[in-house]
Amino acid sequence: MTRLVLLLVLLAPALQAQNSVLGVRGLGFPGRWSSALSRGVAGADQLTDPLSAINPGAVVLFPAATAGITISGGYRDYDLGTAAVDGLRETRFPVIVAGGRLSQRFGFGVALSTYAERTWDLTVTDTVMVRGTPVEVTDRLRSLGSIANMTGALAYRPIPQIGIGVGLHAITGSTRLDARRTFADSAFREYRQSAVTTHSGFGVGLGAVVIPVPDIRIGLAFRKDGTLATDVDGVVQTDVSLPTMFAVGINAIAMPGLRLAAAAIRRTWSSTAPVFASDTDTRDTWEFSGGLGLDGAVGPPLPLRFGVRYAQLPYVPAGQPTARELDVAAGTSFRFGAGRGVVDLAVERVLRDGGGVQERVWQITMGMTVRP
Amino acid sequence: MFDTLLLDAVVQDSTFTGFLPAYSASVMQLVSEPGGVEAVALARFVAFSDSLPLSPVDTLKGPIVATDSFRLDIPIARRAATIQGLQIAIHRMPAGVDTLTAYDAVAPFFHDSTALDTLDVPDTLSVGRFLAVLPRDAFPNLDADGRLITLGFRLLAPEPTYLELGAVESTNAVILTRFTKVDSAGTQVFRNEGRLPGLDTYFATADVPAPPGALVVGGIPSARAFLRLAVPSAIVDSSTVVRATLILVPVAPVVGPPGDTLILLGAGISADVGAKSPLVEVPADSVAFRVGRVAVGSTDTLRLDVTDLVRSWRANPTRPRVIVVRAVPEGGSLSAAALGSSLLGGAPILQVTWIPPVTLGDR
Repeated sequence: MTRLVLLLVLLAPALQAQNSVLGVRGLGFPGRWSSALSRGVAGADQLTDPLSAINPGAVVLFPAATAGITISGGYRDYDLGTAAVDGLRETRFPVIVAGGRLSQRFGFGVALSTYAERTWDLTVTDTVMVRGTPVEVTDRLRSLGSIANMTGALAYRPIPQIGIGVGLHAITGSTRLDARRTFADSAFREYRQSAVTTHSGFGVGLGAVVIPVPDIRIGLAFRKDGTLATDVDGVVQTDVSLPTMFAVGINAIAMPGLRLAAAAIRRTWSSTAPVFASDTDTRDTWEFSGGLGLDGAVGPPLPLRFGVRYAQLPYVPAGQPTARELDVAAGTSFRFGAGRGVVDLAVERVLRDGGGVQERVWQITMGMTVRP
Repeated sequence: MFDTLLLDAVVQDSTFTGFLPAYSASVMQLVSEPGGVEAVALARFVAFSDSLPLSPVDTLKGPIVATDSFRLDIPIARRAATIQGLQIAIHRMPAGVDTLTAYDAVAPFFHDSTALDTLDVPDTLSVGRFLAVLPRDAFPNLDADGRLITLGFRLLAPEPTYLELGAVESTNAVILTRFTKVDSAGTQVFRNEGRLPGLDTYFATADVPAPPGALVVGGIPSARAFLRLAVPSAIVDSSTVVRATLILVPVAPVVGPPGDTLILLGAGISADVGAKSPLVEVPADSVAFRVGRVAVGSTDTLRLDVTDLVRSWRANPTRPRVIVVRAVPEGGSLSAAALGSSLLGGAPILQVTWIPPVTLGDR
């Protein structure tokens, strides 16, 4: 079974409820905390976007009470050696946010987001020697669930140019794991083992938004998570030291109707390494994104956003180069209800490679924001 | 995944005999082996009536005034397919046989003076029934015997072989039908009545000895081998057994009628109370796996699949870890195997293929 996860060979997964094949290892595939609005610029403005759940200081930017939900659908295919798998799909709710202002100086926000996605389904066919006879076996390893991130943020704006915030994070979630081996020879009975892992942990975050001039917003975020306690069927199994995050972003109006944004995020995933098997390498990651937005004052009447993002992924088979993804995004928005409701759309083409896998994803994200 | 031969898994073994006498078996085996051990069968039918209903919708009965004939309906349950030209000799037996009757008491009646007929068994009939008609005077002492009829069956064959008749326990029994004339207000009408055996059994002409100390399975009355096992907890309790095979080694050629195949089955028990331990019924979809076959005269090693049984020990820790090896159908054949034991050597071995628990969780 260990080899099953190690090699990732001859994969023929079920065609639904799948996340990236690069999320099989470690804590899973890192979640993205950016809203659909921010996804349109590949997350480049998420440090100054109150609808994104990364910077607690950004909640001072809520103009009024606001609630937003993001839904994201992915359509994936990947190649691994001579194996080509397509038709994979997934649907997720990456970020749900509500927030507003308590006063002119105080803003607040609560958010539910995905910390790490842990849904995957692997099937491996092999031949093993049993009782001196080669027997075809099919191993299926399934994981269904995720680690969620619940955030409460409070921000204070001592002067109009600066907002600082603090965030408290509760990390929770569960995963149902099933391991199954079936034999082509019916003389051998099926092997099956199931377990439910539950996760719990806490973290704190600090964030700031600096507005040196009206057309420029700079976002800064720091997040330190504690340990993630993992129970398997109620028995404490591991404590994972969660990564620390540093993030910086800038969002500027270069000219009327044209907004430019960029962000960089550093996460120290290597802190999680000690609990994982030696066949998994854990790497600290960088994430860079840049984008531009045409808000309708120039160009077409609908706002348009474009962005590019490069991100490293934390878990990779031992000895392999760091896995990475390149993301090209475009987005737009529609307003309704006299501007009280907004639908944001983003389409991303994501290319990933790592551990011998080349994965291609069409990611369509829709966000709905309501300001009563 | 590991494959382990547990040479010392059987910590206690013993044989108990008498679980199913021949008269309780689902089949009766006839054996023709001149010079060897033969087997003959008896069927004592339920007493015929002295009067019969005149109408199926009326309780009014009329006395039987004459017998017209008898019809014998004979079920063939199993036979050696390659042997042709089989015949069954039907003999008139004393009416008073019962479950205590020994072969010696009925053996003198298998001679020409009691022969009623010799029936040819259709060569094309491997499983099924065939009919024979007996004359009205076949049973001259019918009324004197209380209208009880007992028939003897003996197999005649051109070469040593066997044939099995269905027994009343299997609802596939010999049926004897009496065709009569009944007086109905001075008019004779035809009526008939059929009878199943109240007792049917079979006898071997001699006992077949087994080597002392061996585990014996099969034969009549049927014998079972009880094996108490000690399987490491790491295998049976903590891991998943994907295949378990009980390996039995005969210490002598399997005895029985020429051409017969002895079928053995490993069963579990629900409570360990010794010889009378209640067996756990084998799931229908497991029977094909659970049995092993060995030909008469062979010393081939038997392998019984007991995977489901061993897996059930994990699911139900209170279930005794005992395997009972018995013949199938039990009591229906002279065939018996003498197996190696802890006393004699060559004790049964358990071969287990198992997968230890995988660590599910973060990795």
